[in-house]
Amino acid sequence: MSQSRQRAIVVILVLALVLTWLVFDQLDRPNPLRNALSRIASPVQLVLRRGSRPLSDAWKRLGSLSELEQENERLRDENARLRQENLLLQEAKIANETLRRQLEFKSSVPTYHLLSAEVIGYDPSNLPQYLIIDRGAQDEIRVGMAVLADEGLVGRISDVNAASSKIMLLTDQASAISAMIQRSRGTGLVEGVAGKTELQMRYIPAEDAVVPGDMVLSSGLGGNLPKRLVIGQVTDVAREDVAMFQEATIRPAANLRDLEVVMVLLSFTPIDLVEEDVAES
Amino acid sequence: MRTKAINLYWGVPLTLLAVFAQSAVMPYIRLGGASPNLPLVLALCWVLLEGLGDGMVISLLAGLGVDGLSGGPFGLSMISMALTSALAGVAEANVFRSARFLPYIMVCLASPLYDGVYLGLSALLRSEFLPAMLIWRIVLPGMLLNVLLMPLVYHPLKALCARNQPRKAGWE
Repeated sequence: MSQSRQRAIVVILVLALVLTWLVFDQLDRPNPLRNALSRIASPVQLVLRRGSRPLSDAWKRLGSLSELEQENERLRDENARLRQENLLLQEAKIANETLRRQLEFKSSVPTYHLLSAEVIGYDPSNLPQYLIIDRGAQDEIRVGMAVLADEGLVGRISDVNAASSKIMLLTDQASAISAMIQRSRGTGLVEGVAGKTELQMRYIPAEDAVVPGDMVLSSGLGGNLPKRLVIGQVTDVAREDVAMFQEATIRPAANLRDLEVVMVLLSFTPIDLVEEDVAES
Repeated sequence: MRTKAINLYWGVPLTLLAVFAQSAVMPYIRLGGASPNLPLVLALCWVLLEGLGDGMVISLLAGLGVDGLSGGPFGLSMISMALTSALAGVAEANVFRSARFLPYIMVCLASPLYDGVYLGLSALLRSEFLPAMLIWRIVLPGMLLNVLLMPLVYHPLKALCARNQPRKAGWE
């Protein structure tokens, strides 16, 4: 077959795929083409990811050599402080449980049903911040579910295929999560900023006290996420005298760049307020 | 006229492999906020070695693959990659075909062009300005990483081309 004919066949196939893809994207059902691509991609990505781990580890080591000593020092201090805090918290927990038993309260700390998933890829473009995991609809994953790492919240499921899912990371430009400052209980909206690894917490009422070092948790407002999931820590606060709101820069608790395994929170069903409004009307 | 050394059907699985590697391997090799763009580098190499026509096909396919795996708006990568490859092909044919460092010059120009088109379209779709620091965080580190990646893709592909090139018949 001549070269130009081959070229024409591939171009026609690509254009047909694009058109079909766009049509399927307009329907309210999962896109079967995306599903097919993810079915082909998942095993290849898994093999590539596992095979390339030594390379990525070497690159990471190369980049972090200078920071390693400082990081070590900081972690040692933090460890000592956390040990102390942990002791106090355990004491408080025992006292809390005793009091609750006496008052016959139900536990306010929910038990989470988590499903662990392996990260098989990141978004292939530089701007969008998404992860691809090796669990999908067949593992009861649904759009909107929260995804956690050991250190805290990672993001939410944005797209589910049969055997894989996409997670919109907290750092994506389109991500917005209702949050609160743990100490002052001031609420706000944590958003991702294009090209940055840090988050921006907006709409914090000016009268609420926020200082660097404050922990930021999910507030549960809106019903999209459960309450009290750790999002990160305040690193900087921007406040103006005349403004009604203040803004804070947040460092995510989880290292969103080097995730290997994440956990999907299965026991919390996100509420879709838009769909509920439509159903009521 | 060029002799086509690599069958285009070869390019399809190779491009898909590059797209999968872009998602599974490249994001872990980061500099600033950028990682190397393997599908783009492959498309540029194809333009250089096999001409604009086949290079465009590879870039369309690579863009489609990237869009399929990306959470960003569908079509952005495909448009950016096709436009970049087309301009690279025109430049290669008219301006610096004979330059020795052509692949590196090409990737130095094409990489920021690709990022510029992608970021520009992305900002247009969201109706908002993207911060200028993206140039330092994404565009320039991305260009540097793509330059480093170029020889790793170009030379093996060139060797493959040379092996498959039909031998010229002639009199001793």
